[in-house]
Amino acid sequence: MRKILLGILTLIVILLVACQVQQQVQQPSGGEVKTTQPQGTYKIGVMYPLTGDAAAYGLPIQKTTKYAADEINAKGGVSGRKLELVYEDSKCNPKDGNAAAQKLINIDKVKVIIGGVCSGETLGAAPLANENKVVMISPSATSPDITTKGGDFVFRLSPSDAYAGVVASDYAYKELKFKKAGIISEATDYAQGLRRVFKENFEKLGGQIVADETFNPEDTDFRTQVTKVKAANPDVVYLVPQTKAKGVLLVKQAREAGVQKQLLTAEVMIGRDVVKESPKDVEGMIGVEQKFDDKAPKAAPILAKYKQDTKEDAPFPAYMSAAYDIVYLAADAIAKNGYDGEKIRDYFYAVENYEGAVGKVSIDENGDVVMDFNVKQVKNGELVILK
Amino acid sequence: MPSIDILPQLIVNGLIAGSIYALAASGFAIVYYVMKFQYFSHGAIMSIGAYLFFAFLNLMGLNYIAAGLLTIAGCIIATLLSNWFIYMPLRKRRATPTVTLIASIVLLILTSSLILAFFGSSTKTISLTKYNKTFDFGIFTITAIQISILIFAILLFLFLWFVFKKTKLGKSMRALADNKDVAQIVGINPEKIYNYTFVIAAVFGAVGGMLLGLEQNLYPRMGIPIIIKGFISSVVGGLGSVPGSIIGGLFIGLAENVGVLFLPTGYKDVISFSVLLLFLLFRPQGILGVKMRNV
Amino acid sequence: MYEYLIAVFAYIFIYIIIVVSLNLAFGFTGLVNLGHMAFFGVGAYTSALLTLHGTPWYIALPASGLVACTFGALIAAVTVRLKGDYFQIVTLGLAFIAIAVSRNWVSLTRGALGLPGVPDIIKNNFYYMLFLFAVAFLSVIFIYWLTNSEIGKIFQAIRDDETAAAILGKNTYFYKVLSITISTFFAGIAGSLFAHYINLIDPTIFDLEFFVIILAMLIVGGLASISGSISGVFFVSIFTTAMHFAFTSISPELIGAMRQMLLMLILLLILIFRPRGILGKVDV
Repeated sequence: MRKILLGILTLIVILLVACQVQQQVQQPSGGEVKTTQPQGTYKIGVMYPLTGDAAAYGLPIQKTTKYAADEINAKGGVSGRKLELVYEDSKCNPKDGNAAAQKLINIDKVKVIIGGVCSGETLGAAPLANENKVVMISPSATSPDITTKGGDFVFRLSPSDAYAGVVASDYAYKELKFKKAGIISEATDYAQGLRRVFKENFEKLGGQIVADETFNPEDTDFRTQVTKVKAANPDVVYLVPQTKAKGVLLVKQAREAGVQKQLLTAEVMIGRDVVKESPKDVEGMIGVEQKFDDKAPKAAPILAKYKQDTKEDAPFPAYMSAAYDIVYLAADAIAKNGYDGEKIRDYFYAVENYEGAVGKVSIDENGDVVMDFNVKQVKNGELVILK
Repeated sequence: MPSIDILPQLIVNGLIAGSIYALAASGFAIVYYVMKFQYFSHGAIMSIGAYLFFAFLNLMGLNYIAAGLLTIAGCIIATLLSNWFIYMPLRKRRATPTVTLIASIVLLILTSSLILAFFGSSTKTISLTKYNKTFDFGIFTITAIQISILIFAILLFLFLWFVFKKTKLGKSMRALADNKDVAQIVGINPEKIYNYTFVIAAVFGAVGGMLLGLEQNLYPRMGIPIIIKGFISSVVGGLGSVPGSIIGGLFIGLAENVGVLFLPTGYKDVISFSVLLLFLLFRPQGILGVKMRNV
Repeated sequence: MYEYLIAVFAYIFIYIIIVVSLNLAFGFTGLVNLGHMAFFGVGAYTSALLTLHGTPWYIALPASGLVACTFGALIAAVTVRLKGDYFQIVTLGLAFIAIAVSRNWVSLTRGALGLPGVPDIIKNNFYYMLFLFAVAFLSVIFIYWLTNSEIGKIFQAIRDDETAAAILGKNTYFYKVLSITISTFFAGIAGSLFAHYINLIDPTIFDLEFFVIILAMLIVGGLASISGSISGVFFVSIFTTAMHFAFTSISPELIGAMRQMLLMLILLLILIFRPRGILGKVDV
């Protein structure tokens, strides 16, 4: 018992001391933590999932982020100083996103964070970013929640699911005149966001969702879901996997099971490499994706470099290009407005028609990116833009 | 509720999934039976099996027989290493089954990070899948890989039955499992038998991992969900009984896939855990009615 | 730096509540509740849902504890009769069930999207940390008092030799259920505090990796020792925080994997060489 009391006493003393120091720190600058940059670099925090299943996103995106920083530094850096990327593993969950942001903001004292990749970790870190006036820009978080709950200092260069889902359901109902839809989606925040929006909009237009099946991220056997959807006889099947690999399996199993209906999907699947890998399965599939051209002059070299480095095709070219753009935008913000959170934030709100690797982007008043969408179809092994 | 004529397909799906679960469960059960702890790192061995097979086939371009044999060898080595460095020291210090369980889970997570470091995070597909063919039997469809899962599973189970019932090793394993002290008195060397037990589990892990990798794709954490299902199958079939784990695996596979006739498919996992819960509440000895020993 | 320490301490206090309450069931009563985090999660979701619908925090917080312990009591009532390993197995299964339910019962939990925008209890991080300290302090004092009381002695008797305790006339069933109920109550409270700290709750709180850290804290500190649990939380927190600084100079894509591997290796070493932990009174 004595040991415990001693321990508690020590703790109280520590806390009182911390209290005192807290007061002192807060006096001079009115609540803001003073920035202390070592001479010579501008630190940019990078908060991605580096372990766990989401590392499949985090690691490739990390590479292109680094490419951008390396390029900028090779050309002399920003206002004479080099960019220094500080990495933290946010593990695609809010708790670790929060912890990662804690370290980046309070220890590394960054004023800009690129991340998170997942919506959960982004939202977990958002309150900290807003409290400490640190700008956070995500290359890939798509949850509609970020628009409403992200806060003033949180931006993203990937469109909210709210758009993609609407475009898909609009197209299915209005253009293709389908009245009955079946959905197969993965139980992740990205896919569920799309599913929700698609379902709401499709039903609002007057359509009927005849089957709504989900699968877990660990699953790779979707035959049961496929069987059920097939039995419900929809006009179109909306496939929403989280990753391409899952999507490929899903389409394969759907075709193997004899689903001949029109397949509709989101951007994850409507990529050149998917078509190359399983041309027969995806023939005829229609996908909605943000207008991204991987042959564009800015995008192509990044993706080629990735292939050169890893001997693999870039798995998420849009997100990887977005991360690349964010570094450049952040560098420009620092160069023009200085290394100050509020000024960097102002810069981002003012981004309009920036020609980035990911396409032409503008940022709206919510911190969301405004982008066009393409509706593409796989015809004879080639991707054809329908709209 | 969807119509009943998808039932044959669902049953087939269930048998295939169940076979993989049974393979995972057998490895888990063999070790539990002989060594009395919950061998969660079997999932790690399965993921190593999948990735080794991928490495030998895709990266080194070997033919599938060589790759398969090398993978089995690799898994045996990995398992024996884990015994040497982790399980044996734990036994020496008379660690409780709970500590060993936790250590095996930690090893499982450690292996997933190792795989992540070596192979990267992107999902991989084994090149053999190019040759997969689908057979349409009208009321259901099945692929070549799936048929081979069923065949290999049956072969391995027969092999296991043979070892257990017809070999001296099997007898020694059963003796140790029954009563370690008496077995030692009779002259059985526990450590030697434990090694053999691990080797057999490794073979199951390797083959299970390879089949899993062929049927599904490889990702670093793949060992975790499969061993969870293996664990559930083993408990449902009868913890401590190897035939039980096989039956349990098939049962869970079927329950999951047929169950979604009545439930939204997202609840597939909930089905297996609910089955687990029901069994533990009303029939903890499992399907085969194994008496639970207090260790 | 101070802001960072405040955050570190905030987590420490929440973890202390989780680990000490787990120790009550695990270390003192011998009930290996591997599903402890399921109750933590129930508390977190309860508090999030209540406060998002307008309930003030001073009602939501105790309510989370009550909801969690109600589940705990119900489950305990049915499962504590199971012998040995089986209780462990059921509770492990519970953790997995919690993941599945939180992902799929979308109308309640919003599935993988989670519940964002959970309001703060106290906006200022420093004062919230003090609040957490206060709650942790009270919880620890209560559990300490409990373990030193008659009830606590019965718990330990059950752990050491249940048959003997039963022979001596103690209703072991009742005490086992009581132990789990109290343990899960505090788990629920911790969950609520956690939800109001990071302002977002999603199914990832039920992840295996998170639970392994909690287990590590319990084991490093030692079973059946409250000061042990507190030390365990501190030690492991120092390690996990230090991980943020490790390996910064190696190739960026290996940082995450290396950090996780190092942590797991350290855990393994502790399990092999010192499973009793720092201050443990019982073997795990």
